[in-house]
Amino acid sequence: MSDLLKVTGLAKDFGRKKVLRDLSFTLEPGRVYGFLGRNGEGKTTLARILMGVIPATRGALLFKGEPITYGSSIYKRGIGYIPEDSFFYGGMRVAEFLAFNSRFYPRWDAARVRSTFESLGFDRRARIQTLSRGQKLQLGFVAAVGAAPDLLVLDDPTSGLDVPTRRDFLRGIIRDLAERGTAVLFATHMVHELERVVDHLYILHGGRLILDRGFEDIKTLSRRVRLRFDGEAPDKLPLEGVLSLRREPGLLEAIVFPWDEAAESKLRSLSLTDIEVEPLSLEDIFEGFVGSSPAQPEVK
Amino acid sequence: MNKNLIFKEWKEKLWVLIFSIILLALFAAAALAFAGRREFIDSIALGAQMFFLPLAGLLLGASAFSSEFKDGSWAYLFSRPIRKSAIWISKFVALTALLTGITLLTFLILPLVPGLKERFAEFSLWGPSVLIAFGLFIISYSLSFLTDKQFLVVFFTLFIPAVLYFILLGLSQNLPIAVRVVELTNSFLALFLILVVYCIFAAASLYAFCRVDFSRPKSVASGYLKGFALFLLAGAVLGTAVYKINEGRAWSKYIYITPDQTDAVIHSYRGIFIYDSAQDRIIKLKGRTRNYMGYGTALGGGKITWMEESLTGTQRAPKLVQSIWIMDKDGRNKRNILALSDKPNSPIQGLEFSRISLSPDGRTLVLFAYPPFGRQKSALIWTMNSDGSGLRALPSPNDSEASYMLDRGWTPDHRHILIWVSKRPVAKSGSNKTEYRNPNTYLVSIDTGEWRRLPEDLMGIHLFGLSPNEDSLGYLGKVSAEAGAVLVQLRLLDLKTMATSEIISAPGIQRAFWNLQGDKIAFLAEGNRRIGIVSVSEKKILAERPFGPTTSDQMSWRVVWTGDGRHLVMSDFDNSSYFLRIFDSALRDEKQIPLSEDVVPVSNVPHLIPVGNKILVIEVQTSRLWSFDPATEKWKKLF
Repeated sequence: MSDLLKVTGLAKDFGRKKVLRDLSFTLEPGRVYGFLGRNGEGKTTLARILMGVIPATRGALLFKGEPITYGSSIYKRGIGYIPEDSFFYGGMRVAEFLAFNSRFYPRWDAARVRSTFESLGFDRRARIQTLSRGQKLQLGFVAAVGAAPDLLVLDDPTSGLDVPTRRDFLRGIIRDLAERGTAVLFATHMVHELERVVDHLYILHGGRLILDRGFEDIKTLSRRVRLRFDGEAPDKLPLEGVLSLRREPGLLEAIVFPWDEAAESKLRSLSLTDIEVEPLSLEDIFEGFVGSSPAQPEVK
Repeated sequence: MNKNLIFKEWKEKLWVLIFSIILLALFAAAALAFAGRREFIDSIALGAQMFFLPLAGLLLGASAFSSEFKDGSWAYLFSRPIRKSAIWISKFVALTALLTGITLLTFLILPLVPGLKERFAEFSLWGPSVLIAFGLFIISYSLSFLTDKQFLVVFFTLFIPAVLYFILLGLSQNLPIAVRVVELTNSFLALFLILVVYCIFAAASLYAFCRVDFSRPKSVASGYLKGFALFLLAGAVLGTAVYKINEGRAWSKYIYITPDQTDAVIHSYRGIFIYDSAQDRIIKLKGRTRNYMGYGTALGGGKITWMEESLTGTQRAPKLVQSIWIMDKDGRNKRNILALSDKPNSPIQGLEFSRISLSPDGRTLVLFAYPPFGRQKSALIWTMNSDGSGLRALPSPNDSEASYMLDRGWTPDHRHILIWVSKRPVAKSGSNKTEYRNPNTYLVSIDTGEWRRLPEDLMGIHLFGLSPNEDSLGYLGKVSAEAGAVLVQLRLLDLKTMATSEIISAPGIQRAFWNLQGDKIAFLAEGNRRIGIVSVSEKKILAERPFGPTTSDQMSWRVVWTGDGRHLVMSDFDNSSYFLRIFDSALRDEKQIPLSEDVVPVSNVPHLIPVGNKILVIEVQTSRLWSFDPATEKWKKLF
């Protein structure tokens, strides 16, 4: 499948601070990409660079094969965007806001906007500043969906939302868009939001992408291992890809990526009294990768 | 440009328009409430023009991007598929249209309020007011995406030096360069340069808006200053280039006319022209020069002489370089006959000539010179031959303050001139007040430099010039009161015998005017409500009548005769429009001819200059020129 968005060597410096370093990735149509990272790791910066809101320091971006520069605007007709803080002209009424957006997008899907909007059930004449945060987000989604985008960029939109909104509305719309061929770039620090929707996961840490894998691969290749020893446990394990290690008397607990049979064989060759291997949740995997250290080795 | 954004902006800023309408309504209500109280009406008109509009401009500009940057929707706006330049331009267009609307409301609606119309017309501040309002709008708009602190710092850093510059300029009025700059402020070039400054702000803003990283406030401010420096440089280069190219016509539009009996030299910012009254047309003799063309132009004996000047040196130590030129009446034989020199041994080193006169035979020039600025001493009179030879100074009386040459001031032999000299005030004895002294009139010999004081104590304002045959000087003589009427004598001084004689005496004569034949004198009397004609030889009033019914308080104090002596013309104003009063030579009939629409002067009573049988009509403020034929009542636009 051809690349929808190809990013090569993207970097962003804020003065001396290097927020993004040499990011390269590609997005394909119809897939949901999770960009996980703690607060301050550059997710918003990345989204804003993609949307032409701020300039990149270095790097090349291709959207549908066409290069994007800071001044480009036409390519944005194919991208929907929900910013981190959903501030959309508080003084505007809901209907005005949708009409305002509709004039920017030649492919505006009025019928879909109407049907999505009706399902939400809030007043078209209400001023945006009177809406709750969840309603503002929903309105932003309606506008983004109306643009019939090839790519939807979500910049950590879910914090502060109630559970039904997150679960039903957000996941529903994301899956619906993906099924229609829209690629979704979902940047968040809330790991569990991604678990049921994501196809591919990137982890952003220390300004770099330290993980770039399909979500199924990640689930298959990541394990928590508990090793019990008769006596003192060793200081380290003879394995590549030990993301974290917890040591107690007679016990070692490690998160390992990638996990495979060879790894298990190596561990069993140690003088163990017991070994427990269990799959990980996405949250465990994320913690395993970013842990408490500021910079982990890049894993690809 | 994006219509979507323009409409959004209008909707958002509609309150400014509504607020303006309310404020204008309050202005109007206040004007009605205080009708008849001039000081309040003045304040209202001044406030509406000089404070309300600039404030509206400042508010609209400063609030342009503030909402987006305060509530964070800028990132959302920038992510829409629209170029940043289009965002900037769309908002600019929308708000400019809004400010234009407010300006039109101000200048169309407020003058409808009784009492305010005249004040608006009188103040004539709409030009500066609009210029300041749009200037403040552009500058504040250009800075409106900075943070509040940055806005204030940059605004005042860039704005205060400009204000200080003009304050210092005001304080330094006695410097020649300041005088020139003050003159410059009236010109279209000044307007151009002001617009260049506005464009620098706007261009810097657009440049920064399209390039900077708005997530970093420091980057925004530095991007703006970088753009400002860049466009300031470009603006300085452009402004200097345009200024240099247009230097000759940089100064205020001016037009001076020196009439002869059948011709007139028109000396203007466009060059030198001659008006031929027989053909009723102007002929260009010389194009504009890069130099400033001074006041002096003279016509006589088939020759035209003029003065050019330019400033050299530094701004701190400017040097005025003057030169005097002469050419034939047909524009041939142009030559420089005098250049002021800075050489220490030059007799005219450091002088500044102000006026120039050419004898009717075209052979002799008289030049009026002043010492350099700051050393105000007696005026100096110099004379020279028109071929450039024989330059020498004529001595001046010690107590003279300023010397002026009378119109028609050459005697028939072309060897004497009539000079009117004001005298320095003297301290009153026993008081710290000064006493002003009556000026004297002198007959000055070009050849010997002798100053001969005329025997009568001729008050300058009462002189009405040499007779057309130049043998006698007309003046308004003694005033006496008889039977309740103030009688004024119309008198003549024979310049050969120095004998004086009375022609007539009549109540309240205030002004008198020779006809070109020298046999009749027209006079205005009794607060300019009456016109009369006197026969010089018969020493009697031939005709006399009051003016027509239209009342006026802005009449020109001048009556001109056509060359054939058949018509007398004066200009007048009836509080709504200008018109000409035309009389036949027997004062049997008075016609009132309105100035046609395109002749209507902006604010000045038009000047009338008789040339041949035509009358040249100048509107000084806009430097426009028409000719009018009193016989056919036809107008012709010349300039």
